[in-house]
Amino acid sequence: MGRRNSRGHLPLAAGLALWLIATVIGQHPNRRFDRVRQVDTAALLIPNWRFFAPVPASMDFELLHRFRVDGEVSEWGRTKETAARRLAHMAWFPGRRIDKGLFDVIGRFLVAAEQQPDGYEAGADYRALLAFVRRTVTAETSGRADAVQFAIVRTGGHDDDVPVEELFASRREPMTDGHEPRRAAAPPTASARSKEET
Amino acid sequence: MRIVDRVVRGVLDRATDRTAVVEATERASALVVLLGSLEHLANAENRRSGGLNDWAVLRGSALVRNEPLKRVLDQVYRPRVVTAMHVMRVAAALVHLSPIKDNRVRAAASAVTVVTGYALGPLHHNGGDGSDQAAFFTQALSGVARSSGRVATVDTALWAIASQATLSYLVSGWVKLLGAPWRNGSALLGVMRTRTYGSEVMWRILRDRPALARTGEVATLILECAFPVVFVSGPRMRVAYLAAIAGMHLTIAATMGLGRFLPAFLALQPAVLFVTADRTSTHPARNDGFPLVLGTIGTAVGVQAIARQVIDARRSRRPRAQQELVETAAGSKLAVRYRPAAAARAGAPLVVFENSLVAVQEYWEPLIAELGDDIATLTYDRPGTGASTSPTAPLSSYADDLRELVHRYAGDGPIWFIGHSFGGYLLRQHVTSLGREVAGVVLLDPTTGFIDQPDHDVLSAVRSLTEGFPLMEWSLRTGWGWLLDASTWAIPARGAPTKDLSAVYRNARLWRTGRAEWQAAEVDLLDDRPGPRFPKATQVLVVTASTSDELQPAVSAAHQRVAREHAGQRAIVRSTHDGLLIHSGPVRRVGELVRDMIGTKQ
Repeated sequence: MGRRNSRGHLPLAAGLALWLIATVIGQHPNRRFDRVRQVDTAALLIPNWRFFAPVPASMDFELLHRFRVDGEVSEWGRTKETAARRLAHMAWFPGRRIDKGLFDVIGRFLVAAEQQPDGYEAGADYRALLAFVRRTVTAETSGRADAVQFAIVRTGGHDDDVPVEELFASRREPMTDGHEPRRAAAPPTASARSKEET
Repeated sequence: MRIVDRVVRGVLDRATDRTAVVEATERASALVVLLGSLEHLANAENRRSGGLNDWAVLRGSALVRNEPLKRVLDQVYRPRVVTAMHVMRVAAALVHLSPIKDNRVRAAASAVTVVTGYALGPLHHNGGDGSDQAAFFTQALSGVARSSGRVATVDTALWAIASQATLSYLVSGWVKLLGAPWRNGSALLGVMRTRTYGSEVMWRILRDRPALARTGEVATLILECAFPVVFVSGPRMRVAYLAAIAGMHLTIAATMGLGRFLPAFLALQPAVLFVTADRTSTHPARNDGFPLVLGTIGTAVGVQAIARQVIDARRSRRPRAQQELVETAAGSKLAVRYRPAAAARAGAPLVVFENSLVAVQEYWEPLIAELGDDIATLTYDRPGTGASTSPTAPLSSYADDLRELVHRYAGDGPIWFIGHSFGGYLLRQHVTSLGREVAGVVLLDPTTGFIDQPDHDVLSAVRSLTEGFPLMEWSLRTGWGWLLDASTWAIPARGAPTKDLSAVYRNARLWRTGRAEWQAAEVDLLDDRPGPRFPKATQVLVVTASTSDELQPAVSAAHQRVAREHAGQRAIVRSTHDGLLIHSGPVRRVGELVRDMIGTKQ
């Protein structure tokens, strides 16, 4: 690694300069200026350096669900418990991708539900959340549940003094696709903005 | 001290050796790749049915729109292929971590990492993070350096890594400063209390020691915002600064479970040390052509941004389709669109529409289509919006402008007004001063005061509504306009060229006008008193969007109060605030309500 200089590197330099400029213009604090990111399907080419900025997350989203077995409706329960932080997470923490993924999906879904009060059930994020809940319920009930409902709440995380805020309650959904829901349930009851922190 | 000196000298010496720098970059980012792929292998369940990254669901999202590409990915994302790709990535990472020196082998390992990483990107979309992005480009650029071997190419790649490193800290730090929590000292405590990002132990420690929390915030901001000092400081200071940055990442890794970020950002440091070293200390001397190329292209991009801004500004000031410019006695030139009733029958009603804040008259098109062509309609942009000239003093001349327009276009028929949001507020202010009878007023999710049920959230929303406008104005004056995704606001122009509407929203003047209008109205809004505003004979309909009704009880109560004060009707339509004008279902319902009223009156 050390052959002499030449001008052959100029196209590379120009390409990398354009990539850096694309990165610069993809960092506006207002995400409405993120137009350049539309070309980055894999969300890998243009890094997002706005870590915890400008407004960091200070609340958690939690996914709750309840189900019906033999006509009896269960209490609401947490769909996914977030692992308590341990030092070992520095080296190995695969579950963090699930926690972060859930945060990403819920954040996007709430924005979509706010913008489109009808028909959001057909969106990928709603379907992902429903499938996630169905799988949990199937495991909890050994497949005996015939209907499920999920809800999204916002909490203060470890701070129990922060009141829990109900954001969304889904309609009652069958446990498998192909059955129409029998009754519409509550619409979105609050809004929240998605934040991609890391 | 001697040990420290020796370590510093050793670090600086190695930072002048290209091979050592590239190798250190590769090794650190290979650790990120290794951990990342092992995590994905452990999370295979997350890609099956019921997982958050189930391709069968993801392929229906906006992530990949191209159908042929989706069909290719259907094959690529079969479980066995995905597993095989991650096994290849693990193997490539192990090659980078091994003592193998062969450039071709190490370059091939980078190529495997980059190609598979890019291919897998959409599948791992949910749960991906900044460490994945950092590892991706460090692997790509170290691979470029390995495969070429030319000094200029290696140096260009290392300059690019160092530039991204600088950018990462600068952006992270300065954008934080725009957020109130970072300025008022609540950011760190807020993050730490979350289960997703924080740590209960750290949260309790910081909660009981606010000074420690503030120190942590300030230290983070200083380290990030001042990162470019590494380019001007001496070698020892430079190493100390980067050590402090490494300490910051170590703390984040330990407290927030963001372990992969530590090697991902440490991988950038060798390149920073290389490009900041004395140029002649490298052998052969370092090629510093990249900053020049970057500056040249950056300047060119800046010039085209300014040129586009000028073009957009001109476009935004032209009257749009079928608008005419009407000069008023107050000195305003207003962009107006008047549509007479189809049959031009005598006595046909005229409906005058009042826009919301930072809204254009095209937003009324769906509702006008719904109302049919047996009524005359009048839409206009207030001063400072689109082709209408800037206001001398927001709000003060608006009543006169409206009166002139009404007198100019109204015939013998009854006059109706429809206002949306802030336009509803303006109608409540101005309708009484028109000097002629008004048949009815329809207020669509209007902005009102909240005297009935003072609600802290709503009051703070009133005060904060235009908080983001100054950043918008500054950005649009400094050439960011071409990057603004104005498609949301150009919704009324769907099916037609959206350029004209986008240009309006890319003009800082629109946002400045909106801010000035809101500020002029704010005192009145916060001190809104009950009592009728319209003449007794005026029919009143107040429509509340269901989201406003559900999310803002104080707003809904105020709407109820306004309807009651005028013995009018109140209706709740299942819709969002803007959906009342743009979504087909709500527009249809609003159209029915308005037609019923106009029909009743006639």
